[in-house]
Amino acid sequence: MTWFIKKLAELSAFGFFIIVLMMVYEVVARYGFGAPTFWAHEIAGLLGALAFLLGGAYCMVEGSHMRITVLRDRMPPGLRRAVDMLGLACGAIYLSALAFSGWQIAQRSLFRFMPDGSWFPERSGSSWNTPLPAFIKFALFVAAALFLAVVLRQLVLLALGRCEASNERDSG
Amino acid sequence: MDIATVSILIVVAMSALLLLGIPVAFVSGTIAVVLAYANFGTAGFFLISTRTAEFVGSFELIAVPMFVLMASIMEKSGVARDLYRAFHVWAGSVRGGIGVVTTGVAVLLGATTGIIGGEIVLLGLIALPQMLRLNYDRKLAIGTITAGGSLGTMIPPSIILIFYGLTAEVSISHLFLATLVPGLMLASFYVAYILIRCGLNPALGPPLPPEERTMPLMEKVALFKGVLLPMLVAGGVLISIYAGFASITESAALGAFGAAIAAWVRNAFSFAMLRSVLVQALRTCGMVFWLVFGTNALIGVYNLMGGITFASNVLAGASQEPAVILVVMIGVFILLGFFIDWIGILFLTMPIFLPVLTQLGYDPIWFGIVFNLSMQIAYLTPPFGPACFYLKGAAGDTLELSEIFAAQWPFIGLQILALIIVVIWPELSLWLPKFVYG
Repeated sequence: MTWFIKKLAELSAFGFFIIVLMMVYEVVARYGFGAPTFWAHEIAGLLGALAFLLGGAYCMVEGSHMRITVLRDRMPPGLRRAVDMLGLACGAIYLSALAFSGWQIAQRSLFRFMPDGSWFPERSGSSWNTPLPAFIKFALFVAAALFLAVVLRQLVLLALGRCEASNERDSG
Repeated sequence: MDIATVSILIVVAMSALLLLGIPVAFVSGTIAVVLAYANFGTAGFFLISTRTAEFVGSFELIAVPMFVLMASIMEKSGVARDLYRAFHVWAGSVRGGIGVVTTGVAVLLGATTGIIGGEIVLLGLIALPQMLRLNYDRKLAIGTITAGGSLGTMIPPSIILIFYGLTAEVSISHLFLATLVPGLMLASFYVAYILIRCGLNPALGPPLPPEERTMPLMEKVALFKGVLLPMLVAGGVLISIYAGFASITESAALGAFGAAIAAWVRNAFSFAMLRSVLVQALRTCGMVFWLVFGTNALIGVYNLMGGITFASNVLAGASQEPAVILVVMIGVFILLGFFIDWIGILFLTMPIFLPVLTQLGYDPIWFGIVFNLSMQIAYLTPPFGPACFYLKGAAGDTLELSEIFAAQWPFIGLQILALIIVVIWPELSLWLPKFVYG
């Protein structure tokens, strides 16, 4: 599972590369040809949001989330384990609430239909009027759920006394 | 429970969780969830996810990974090493010369990269061995690198100011201009400090040995060739932002593109490098933004409970004298800086401080620079001094963390001096944006 999340996040990082190319094209088109694109900013917004959201789970897998370890490093191993579990529990509380409500707002903005039954998601209101806000909310739900899965996995591993989880976190 | 008690409980819970070593990204988020549930039930969670979705969808944020990309590409293509080489041959027979060169290179790196961590690691790898080889006073050498490397956020482009601009809803390009003079002033304080200390006691910073000073002038000048293109890219990005040629995000993307071209010209560009800089950007965003998500959620919930109004009233009622309130705010910045990162401080305090500040008639652009300078201090102060951690990471076993922290105090003193000057003399930061934008 961690492998999958890492790969997925790395894939989303390539979105940054696409954003660079799109922005260059946008500026060249605007000044060189007097024809700004209508799509560059919205696609960039979506790609950026995807990477930002998946980056959380990625850092969790890598163990690179920031924490103040001055006290923790001086604790005896038993207490340290307890503190690590508390940290993961905090993560689980926060992320389950985020995933839960993320799903609800995603549902609300994504599954909207006109009286005649046609799909009518929440849209950005720009000239292109993509369903960008709806997509971002859905991405938030997926990313929070994946992040939660990583946290729960580390919590279970730590509770079972396997040190893999804490090793992953210490390496960051 | 009244809001005053809740506010105190929030502060206590936050400090406890932070000190225990709970990942910072979870601390404020968890507190937000608990508060939301206690006050509004599961319906309160809506606020958390809506605020997160709104934040993550703002286009300006994309400037952050773009600047990280530009910085990492420059870093990986060896610009810092060439820059250092090009400048260090000019240090000549001046006592403390290499220290001055290190500060100068730090300022230039601040304009090209401006990512604190990367800059300190680079200087720690390139400049520190040089200074130690010349038998520099260890504390002086260490402090020059941590303090100089932190200058990155004082020299535009600055990630701190992007976030501040988004929070305070002021122009980021105005902020970028306003920080320039105070940033250079702080750098010149460091230079003066190094020169004075080495002038009084030559043993602290010996000059280059004579055999290393024999390079002919033309060769010295030729060394600049390697750094010309990256410097042009960095300058171009700033001009594009200042002149309003393209938005901040677009300019940053152009900068990343330009950095890639410059790297390609130097034969340093490859697919493996592209991959690693993209992942680096992903990592930075994952760390920083998830920290913001939690804090942003906490502020949203706290606001709905009437907490922001309460805290602002307490702050505004603290004194009749606006200056006293201002000093309290700066005190809070510095105090929090001992324990948490700038981004946490920004998102926790600004929703409370900014309404009071405008009510008192202070300029939010200037206040951004005051905040920025306060964060310079936060970078260096133990026990949570990111600059010191980065240097420790780069230097490995040659330096003890306690030695690094002990070396910071004179530089912290200089930062406080600069902060005082900027506070009592707002024009110092404000004249440049006024001059350019009218």
